[in-house]
Formats: sequence, C-alpha cells, structure tokens
Amino acid sequence: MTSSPRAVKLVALAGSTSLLTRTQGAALREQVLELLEGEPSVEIDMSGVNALSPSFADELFGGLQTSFGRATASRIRVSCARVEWRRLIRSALAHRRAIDGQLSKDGRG
Amino acid sequence: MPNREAVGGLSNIGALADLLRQPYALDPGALEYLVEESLNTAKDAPVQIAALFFKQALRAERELVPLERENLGRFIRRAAAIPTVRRAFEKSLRPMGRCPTRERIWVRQLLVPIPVPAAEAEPAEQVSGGVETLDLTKIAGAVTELHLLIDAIGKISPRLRFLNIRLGEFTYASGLAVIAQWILAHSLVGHYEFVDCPEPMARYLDNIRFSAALRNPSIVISPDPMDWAIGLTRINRDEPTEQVTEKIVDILHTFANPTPEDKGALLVLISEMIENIHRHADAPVDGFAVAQVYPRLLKMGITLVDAGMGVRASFESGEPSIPIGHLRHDSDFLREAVKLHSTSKKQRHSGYGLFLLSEVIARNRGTFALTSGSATLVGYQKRKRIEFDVFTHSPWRGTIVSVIIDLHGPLPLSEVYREMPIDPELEADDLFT
Repeated sequence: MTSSPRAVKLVALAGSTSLLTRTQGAALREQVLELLEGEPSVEIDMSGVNALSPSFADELFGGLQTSFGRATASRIRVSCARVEWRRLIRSALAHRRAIDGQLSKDGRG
Repeated sequence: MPNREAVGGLSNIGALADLLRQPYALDPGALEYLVEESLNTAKDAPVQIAALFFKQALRAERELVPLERENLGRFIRRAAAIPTVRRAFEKSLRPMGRCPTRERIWVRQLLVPIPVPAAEAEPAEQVSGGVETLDLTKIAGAVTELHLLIDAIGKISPRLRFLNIRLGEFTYASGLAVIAQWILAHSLVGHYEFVDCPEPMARYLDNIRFSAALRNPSIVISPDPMDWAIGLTRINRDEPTEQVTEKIVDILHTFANPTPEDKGALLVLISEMIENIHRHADAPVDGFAVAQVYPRLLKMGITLVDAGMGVRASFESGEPSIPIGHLRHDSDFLREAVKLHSTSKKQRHSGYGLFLLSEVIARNRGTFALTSGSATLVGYQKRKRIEFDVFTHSPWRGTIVSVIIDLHGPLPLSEVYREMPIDPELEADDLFT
C-alpha cells in the first residue's frame, strides 16, 4: 500500500500569492527539499496563486528536476488547475532538461 | 577621536547649536563628535538634535547662500542617517503642512542620506573638462524617441565636470530615467542642473523625485499624491524588489479596473524585467525604474534602465544558449535576446523575460523598446505579427527596456504561456495530478 504524498500549499509556504522572483523560487525549493528528507513524496498545491513567472517556475520546478533527475515524478506531484501554468511549468522543465543534458555532456553539472 | 580640539571642550546640544550657526565653518569631525556625545548623555537627545537641525534647515532655506546651504545640508543629512535622529526628524516634519512648498521640499531633501559621490570626493583639479549642456528642448524622450535622446547624450564629453540640462515643455519619465542613469553612472550627482526649466517640468521633476532618487541609495517609492506614477526608483541587487513591482501594478487601479489576469500579467512582466537587471547587468551602479499612467490616453509607460554590460557583452562574455558567431551588429544581438530561451547564460537563466515582454506587449497593441549598445529595437503588432523597427545611435552602456501598455486592451500573458512551444523529445514525465 502506498501512502498519499504530503501536501504543501505553495501560497502558505511562500507567504505570498505572487510567485515571481528567483529568490522566492530558490527559498521554496530549499523548503521542499527539506520536507523531502522526511517524506517519500510531496504534492505541491498551487491553489490561491495569483501570478506565476517563468523565472520562479524554472528556479523551483526546474531546480527540483535537476536535484532528482528521472525520479522527479515519483518524488514531486503538482496540483495546478490552470492550463497555462501547467504549460509554463512543462516548458521550464523541458528547457531545464535540455540545459542539464548539455552541461553533463560538457562534463559539468 | 574626531576633532575634539575643534569643539573646544563643548559637548552638549548648545554647542551643537553654536556650531550649526556657522555654516561656513562647519567641521564634520566636530559635528559627529557632538552628535555622538549628545546621544550618549541625554535620553531625549535625538528629539533635541532633530528639532535643532529642523530649525537650522528652515533658516538655511531662507537665509543662507547656496554654498553655505549645501554645506549645512550635507551635515544634516549625515546626522539624519542615524536611525534615532532620523525618526525624531521625521516626527518633527509632520506639522509641516503649513510651511511654504519650497521649504518643505528643501527639508525633505535634507532627510535623504547621501553617499559622497565619487566626483565630489576627488579634488577638482583631477577632473578635467568643463561645463557641458544637454539640450533636450526638442526631444520629449518618448519610447519611440529614445534613439534621439541617446544621440544627444552621446554628444556630451564624458570628461565633463558639470552638466546643464535644458528640457522642453515636456519630457517623458522614461527619458528622465535615462538621463538620471547617465548622471549616476558618470558620478555627476550634485554636479548637474536643470537650466531655464519650464515650471510644469520643474514640478514634474519634483514629483518623480529626480534629485532625491539620485541621492538616495535605498529604494524609495514615490509618494505621488495622485497615485498615478512611480517616481524614479532605484533597482539594485541587494534590495527586495517585490514592493516596487506591486506598487507599479497598484497605480493601474487609479484609472483602470484591471482584471486579476491583467494584474498577474503585469506583476510577471515587471518582475522579469527587474530579474534581467539583477542577473545579467553586472552594473557598477544601481539601475532605475519609473512608471506613469497617462489618463487621457489610457496608457501606461514603464521603463527600466541599467548601466551594466549590455546585451551584446552579456552574450559574448557568458555561455549563450544559442550560437552567436554569425551575429555582427548590436541590433542582431537584440533580435536574438527577444527570442524564447535565448539567454546569455545557461545556469540560473532561462531566456523567457524579453520574449514574454515583446509577445505580450505586441498582443496588447502597445509598444516595446529595447536599447543596448548602438541599437534600439522598437516592437509592435502589425497584421497580427510582431514587427521590429531598428534605430541606430550613439552607444549606450547598459540596457534600457521601455514599454507602453494600452490600458484599453488585455495583457494576454496566459495566451502566450499556452502557446509556448515544447520540444516533444524533452517532455518530462508528467508531474501533474
């Protein structure tokens, strides 16, 4: 039997409904990584968010993908009702995957 | 120990008052010593010092010649940088509603603590060159005129000692932000003057806090009573910028009733513009932001300017995500910079900011300008496509991003997100529940 992932509300974690800067994204990524030290998986709940920027999406979701690689989907789940933000996050992940691939080809990362 | 001898044994508020009555002979060491001594010995010293400085500041405006006034002002600003004195000073400013406007402006300006500008710190004889004039009487500095403004600035000798600026009947805030950046980057704070300035423009310069923003290194958002502008506001790496972003969005409410979608879009666009300055510019001095709603036209202008390395150098010195060997002119680099995922550095950069800005502003039927080096790219929508006009001009060290948003129309950021292309080979396992 698998337990359901620990849910975290991004708005509560950030203390803001506007998720805009890389600084915010990096701080939240650290918090999620900390939670994942004690949990098998985490569900990031995006309800209540009013604004989502690409820089934030790259820093949080792209950064988590860099940390977990192929295991990302088994550690992180995202609950997001807005189609356009899902597209943005997918785009950020795809771009990050391309960059990470290039960097590892160059022997870095 | 700073100049105890100069104080001659006096160490109380009375001595401070005596000292301040001789603005032509003020000694910074003596002043700092007296302030420190007073703060250590009397509990209500901050209030007494503030009251004393307040009185002297008013006297200075009425009675002193400019040199004495500047001298006194410098000392008062230095003291006002001490938090306890500053708080007391601000408290004593509250009943100033009855004071004449010039005095109020003067005293408020005194409250702004300033670092000593590099040009002021150097002995005058080390600075060669003379007085130059920047004549902008025929240039309003609108987004589509930035190239003319930069050409005018380009004619000034960079070795000048003092800059006279002549403005016409109206200069846009975007143009003023560019001038302010040039003044700051060339260490001309305190060494420039607006000459023969038409009265409405003089008021506008006060409203957008031109002088205060140049002197104040911390972010200060303009307390515009009409709430339709964000005065000249510093952007630097160490200060949080969310408050600037949110305030710019707030002024939309004055004349328009933005949807949550539009507000969110504007928050994203402005924060991405500021992130660009933080991450790419590597500027030796702060950048500036300015925003203004034009109620008659129902348009909003936002400009961000920095004196950093600029777009081309950022690509050439970084690890660009695209091949740049074939790019020859500054305008080629600007055209690349507005493409999706085109960025000068692979790590901690993703190349969305300028792409989103140009796409959203064009779809809004607004205008977008990107200036760096010797080129300006002006983007707008024509027959449902984004067109770019290229202007060449004197070199601008740094980057200017300026947009005019049409408040009649939406800011369709969601549409741009939805249409974002994704390489199917790079699609990750789906994270969504």
